[in-house]
Amino acid sequence: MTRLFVLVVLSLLSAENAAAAADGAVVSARAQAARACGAVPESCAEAEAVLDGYLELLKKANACVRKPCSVETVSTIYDRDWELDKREHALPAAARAHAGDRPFLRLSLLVLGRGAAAMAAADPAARTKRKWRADPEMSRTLGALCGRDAEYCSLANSVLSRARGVRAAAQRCEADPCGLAELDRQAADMEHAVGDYYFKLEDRVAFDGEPIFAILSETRTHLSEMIARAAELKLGELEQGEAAASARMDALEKTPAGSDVSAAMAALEADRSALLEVYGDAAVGADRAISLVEADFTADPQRERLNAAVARLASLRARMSALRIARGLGGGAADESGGVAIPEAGARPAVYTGAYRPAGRTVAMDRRKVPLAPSGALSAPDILPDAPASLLERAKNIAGSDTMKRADALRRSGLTRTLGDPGGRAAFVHAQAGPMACAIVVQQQILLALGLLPKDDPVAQENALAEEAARRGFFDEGTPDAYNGELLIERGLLVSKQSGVGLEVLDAAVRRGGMVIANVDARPLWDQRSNAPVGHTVLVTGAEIERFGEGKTLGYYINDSAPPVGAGRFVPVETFRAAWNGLYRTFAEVR
Amino acid sequence: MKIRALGLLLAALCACGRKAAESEAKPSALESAVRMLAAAPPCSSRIPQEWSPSRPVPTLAGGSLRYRIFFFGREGDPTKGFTFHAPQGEAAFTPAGRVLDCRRLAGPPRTIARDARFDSTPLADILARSSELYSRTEAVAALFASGRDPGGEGRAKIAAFCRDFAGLADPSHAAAYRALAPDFWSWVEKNGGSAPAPAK
Repeated sequence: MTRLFVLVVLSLLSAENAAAAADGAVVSARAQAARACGAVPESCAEAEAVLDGYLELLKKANACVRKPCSVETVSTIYDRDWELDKREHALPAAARAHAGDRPFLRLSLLVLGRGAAAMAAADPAARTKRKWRADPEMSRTLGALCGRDAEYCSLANSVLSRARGVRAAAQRCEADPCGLAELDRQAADMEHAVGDYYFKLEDRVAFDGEPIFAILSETRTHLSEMIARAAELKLGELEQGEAAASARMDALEKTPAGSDVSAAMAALEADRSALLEVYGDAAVGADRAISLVEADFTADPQRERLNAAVARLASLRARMSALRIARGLGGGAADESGGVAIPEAGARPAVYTGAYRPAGRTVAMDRRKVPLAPSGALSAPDILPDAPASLLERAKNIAGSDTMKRADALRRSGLTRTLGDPGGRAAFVHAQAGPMACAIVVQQQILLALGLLPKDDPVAQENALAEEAARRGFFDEGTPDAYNGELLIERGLLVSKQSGVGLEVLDAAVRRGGMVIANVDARPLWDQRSNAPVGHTVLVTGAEIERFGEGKTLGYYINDSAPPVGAGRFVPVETFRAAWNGLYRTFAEVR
Repeated sequence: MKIRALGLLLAALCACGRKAAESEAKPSALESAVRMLAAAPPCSSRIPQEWSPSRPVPTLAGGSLRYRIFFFGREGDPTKGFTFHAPQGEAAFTPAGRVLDCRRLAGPPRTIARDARFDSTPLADILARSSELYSRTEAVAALFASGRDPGGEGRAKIAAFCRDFAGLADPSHAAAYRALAPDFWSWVEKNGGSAPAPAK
């Protein structure tokens, strides 16, 4: 199993292998120059000049691999290679080819490969700065591959055909901007092309395949930039819309108490619903753009802006609800609205699986009321099933070091406060059927808790949601972190996401009372004695905090779908912290 | 009321002794990077967060130190225990945790033999040994990247690293570990260490 990362393949190859490959290509190219001089004497000088040019570039590229050069220096290698390639094309056929082989071209590919390694050494992020010159490189690569092996040639053609298709579609969108849904479709198609390369071609072409991967990679980066721009436009539209809606809300709140605001409120509600759809597009678009990014991703300003937008939209919803109550127009938690996804005809493939072409975006918004969890009479399951037998035992537990017993004793003594609705939400968890379906089941619980799914066969619902997520590319043998909560966003729910943050950030979210999707290393939760971390997603449904002192968090209530199901299970904060710090430190909060 | 007052008093008295328990030893830069890897783009959209990361292995790219790692899923549940898979994804990253490449591997999930060596080891011990191995990996990676003769002291570090690596890495993943960074393991063997060996 030789699995090489092609973009850094040459730098990871052993020096001996690289040298052997280089020697072979150089020997062939020298022989070709000699043949050219014999067969076409008038082209002898030019053939030798091309050979010398490539050898000089190879030397330069190798030097830059050994000792990193600047990105600009490495770029000149590519530019010079391109000039030599044009000269090679201008040579008579007898001077440039021999028995179906094109030795100068092989030398050129060697230069490109070493150039890629040199660029990776110079700056891994700089590859994207290279000029997009896909067509000539495709032709050159195919020329080299097809001269040697028919099966090779067919596979390469198939992969490149896909890449060409996406590239053409992307170029059409560049010239005439298309919607996020179309770009989203192209993104899934692109992932298939990359998957084909990895699965069908890479092991066989390793060395010579670098230009093919470079083309795929650059097309993918190009597409990523377009999607990021489209998401950016949506985000701008969202922010503008929010500002306008917020200003109208300010004005409505200032109207005299007796005035009729029902028509204005209805109009504002319609606009807010439309904004939710814009939010969904912006959020999924931003996540897709991230999915196509290749490297050097240090921060996501769109995610920060999206989180801020989510907070403002949630605030607007609360203000509207408060005004409705104040003006006798109904309102309250049960009147707050969101959306429900309606599946449409057409299927979307999961990323990396299958060979079928993706269809367009398959969900539409249906603005129905979303009943939220009741705000009063909240409950929490017992921390420990049995109360301490005596007052003395309870006191000992409070003073003791057993965190479960201490939290239980404090709560039974009325010294704690429950936040969230762990008791009510405990009813929505079931034992996950799929071993990797925890994130799906967490989203299912949220949809059930918000009344967006009927109480039904939980396993059938889980399977249907997993299938939907797979079609959309959000789920394949598990849920990637970027797609955490995406099924909720597509249903018009407001979801903010945080990554690489401390437990205090999650704590603040839980204290707001909503439901929080947390990605953790489950070993501390299950006392699983494994040498490898165990990634898992749980729903945090509430927290138990002290009523005294600084009001510290004693622990969290979680719904854990892994057997045995933990429905409203209390996890002491120290245990949860170990699970939280063990992996990722990411969560999604439903607002 | 008396109970609450008593509880409050006890709680207040005990609270002062708890600060130490809340703090956790700061993980090394490498351990932090590995913990976050699957949530860092582009892994964040390609590697399911349910998958486990392997131990990182150093390699050299253009003379610069890099780490390579693979990811694998699992079967089972906490009540029955888990069986892990052969590698299903791979990534390369810098010592600072910047992901250079990340991808899934071909083929259906394939289970490997269960590693039962840790069944009676407390989780805290496993975690402590794991953190220790991260530190040893960083030390050995620095020696490897320096290109100099590690000397007697360096070879002792390599031996300690190999011992800990063999003690924690799943033997059924041995071939995958060797394929991750042949250059590194070759260097290790030249300096008296041993590459991961498959389970007997």
